[in-house]
Amino acid sequence: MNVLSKFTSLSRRQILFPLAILLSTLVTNGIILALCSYNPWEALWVAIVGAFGNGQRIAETLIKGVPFLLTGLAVAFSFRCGIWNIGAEGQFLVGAIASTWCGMQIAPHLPAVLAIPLTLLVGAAAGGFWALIAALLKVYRGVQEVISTIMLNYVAIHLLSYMVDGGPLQEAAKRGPQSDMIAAASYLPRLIPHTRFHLGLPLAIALAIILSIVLFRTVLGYQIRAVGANPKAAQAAGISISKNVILALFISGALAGLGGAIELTALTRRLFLNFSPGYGYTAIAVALLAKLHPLWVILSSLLFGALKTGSDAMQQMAGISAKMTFVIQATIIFFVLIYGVSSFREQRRKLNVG
Amino acid sequence: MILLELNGITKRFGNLAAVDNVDFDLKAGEIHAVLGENGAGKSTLMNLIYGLRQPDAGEIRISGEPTQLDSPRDAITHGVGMVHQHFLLIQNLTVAENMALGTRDRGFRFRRDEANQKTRELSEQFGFAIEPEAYIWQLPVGLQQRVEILKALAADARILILDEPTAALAPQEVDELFSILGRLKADGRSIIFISHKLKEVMTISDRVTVMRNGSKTYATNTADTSTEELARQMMGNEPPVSQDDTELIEEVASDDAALNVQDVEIRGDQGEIAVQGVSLEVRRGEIVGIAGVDGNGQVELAEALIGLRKVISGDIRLFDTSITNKTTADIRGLGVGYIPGDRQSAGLVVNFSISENLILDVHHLREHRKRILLDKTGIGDDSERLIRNYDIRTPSMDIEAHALSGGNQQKIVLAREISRNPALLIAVNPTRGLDINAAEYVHNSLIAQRQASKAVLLISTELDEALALSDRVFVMSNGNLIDATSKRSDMTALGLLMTGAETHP
Repeated sequence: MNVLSKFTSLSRRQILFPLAILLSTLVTNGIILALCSYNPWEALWVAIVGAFGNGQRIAETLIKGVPFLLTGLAVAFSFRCGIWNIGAEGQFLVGAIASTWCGMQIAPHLPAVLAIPLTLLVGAAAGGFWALIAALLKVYRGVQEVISTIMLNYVAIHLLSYMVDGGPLQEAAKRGPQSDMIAAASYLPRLIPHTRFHLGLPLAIALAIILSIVLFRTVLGYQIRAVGANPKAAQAAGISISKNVILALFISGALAGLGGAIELTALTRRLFLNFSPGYGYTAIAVALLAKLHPLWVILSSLLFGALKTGSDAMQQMAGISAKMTFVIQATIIFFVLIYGVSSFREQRRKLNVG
Repeated sequence: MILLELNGITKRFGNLAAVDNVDFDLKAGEIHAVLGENGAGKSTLMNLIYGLRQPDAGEIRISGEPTQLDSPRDAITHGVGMVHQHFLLIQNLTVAENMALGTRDRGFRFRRDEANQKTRELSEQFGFAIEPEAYIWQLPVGLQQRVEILKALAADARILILDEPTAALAPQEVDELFSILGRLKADGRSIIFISHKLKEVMTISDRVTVMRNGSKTYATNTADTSTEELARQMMGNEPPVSQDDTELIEEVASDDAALNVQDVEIRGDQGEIAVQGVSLEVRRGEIVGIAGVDGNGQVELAEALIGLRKVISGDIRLFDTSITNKTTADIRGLGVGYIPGDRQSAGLVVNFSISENLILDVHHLREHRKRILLDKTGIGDDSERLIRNYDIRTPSMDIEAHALSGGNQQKIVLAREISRNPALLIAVNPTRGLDINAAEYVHNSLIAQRQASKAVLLISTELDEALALSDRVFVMSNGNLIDATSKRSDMTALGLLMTGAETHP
């Protein structure tokens, strides 16, 4: 009986609240669009058709979700350990840079079956080590990871711009700020003909499942959650805070780095300026919306993927300006975060009972 | 003239009367000390006077008028000011800026010159020697306290409540505080001085009221009493729960020391020396109690023993193994259990389930794993057993710990720590905040350890508890450990030791 009432009261809140959020999102954006003399109904229709209208569009929506998924997992994993890794953006970029190097220098000499995993691994490792800088600074010098990871984002962004604009990775022809194509051996396979749907999505979903097993079923995950939920009690029970902080940040960085590597090897296949439109930052919203649960990150990242393809369609099909679609995206993220953060704060409140 | 009068004030928290039918009065221009152990009800009483809480029964009169104090703002309007033990100052604002925060006339613009001028005048009026433009973080603790007093004076407080004002002060700062209090008194203001330090109460107060277990037990003119008498009143006259009526008296202590602490020195959180050259031995089959008022180094000592805090010098041995500055995991692995002083912040992960909390210290061991995964079934069986054996009242082991009562939460900690069968169990305030039955359960668990020839180190601010359970009793005061076993029936002497009135046995 008790369980039932708990279940129903929970589900009522879980249904009503998102509905209210959805409604206010639609109304707000409708008003904004109408004020700018667009037809909000047309925009909404175009966005839905753009994201889900046919197989190709659905495939596009799915793969647009992949970078959100991996960076979202990265953020969720570190937040679970109580570490505010705001640096998924930088880790994503560094991962892409390292993969580009690997894809150009090493992959040409290898068969695809080796070149692909190696290129991905190099990207993941690079992201992991990038995050490790912040972890070591935190553990040995007490530097707040919020600050250091943000700073490392800037370093990574400028590193990328150096690499492709006059640096060692710029294309041989030196026409623009981009690299040459990586070796075909390191291309991540696309799975469905006539779409760009690639192996990255199943790979990322598998990772999300593995991560949720790690978090909730293994010693490592148990320790990471304990440190995140109450470092003092964890320490008093003999769990090392330093070790778990370092591990959690390394894994987090590696996930984001892998995100960069997959985006590169599966879709763009070359590195260029503005390689990430801010995946690593949006990832925070993705993770919070998913309540830091790896399995929910799958869904929330797909939602953000749909948002992206939907707003691209508005731009192409309804003639809504690109700037306007950013406004709409931002409004939606804002409302989604009201939902995500309020449920996150609920968790924190539970956590701070003492 | 009576400035403040409390008649039959009672405040209950659940079934517990934190303040029970207390009468109290304060004359104009006097210093009235309120004395009592931790948990005697002093702070609750003061919170009632300062409007932070409202009494369940009784009346408060200020200048003869019955007064309802619904908030600190009400209290301030009625001329009551309070200086909390932990200062409420903003460190990176100046003195004058902090003063201005407390005033009512907030315009849009901050008139810095005016604020500085006001602060300077007030400071000079009472001889405080405070620079209005100094930042709080630049000031030593004694001066920060004066800023707090000044804040109250700026609101024209005629009744000033000082909560343990000397707790954080160096001796010469205490002298300066006392001369300031003298000047305030001469100015016709009244001061309620809360303390558990007998010597200070004797020095500074005109009258003294002693509280114990929420009741007023004694009130007198300071001139008519003595430190000894106050100590007796504070501790109570009834003999501590005697050991004779339990089987405890049966001697089970053996000669081998389970724990041997040699001359350790430990720093506190602020870098101060919290424990100075303490030596201690706990043998198998005995409970050693360390009594003392909070903040005298007991917690630091316990944390060093379990590896949460580094020792600067000295040696800690468990049987023949040195555990000095080893990691907590290593020390636990050698057979030390630890019940931390605050179960919610250090004993439990409150939003972990009961069964997750029960494996906090051993989850990594092979017996709790199946390959790389945690062995859910095995852990579940263990949890069921512990919940049954330690009588943890819960519908399920999957309930999160925060949903349980304090007593049941503490049973989780006990179950976890004691079921490992530790050679040495360190328990810090294990019954704090528990009701009588839960407390008794904890006590029996500790005694059972002793009967099983294990060593127990009990650190408690409750003198009664330490006396009732321990084979040998020490008192910790100012980072020093004093053997008080020979004085265990002399409450006066113990009181003097605990309050630092006497530092040598």
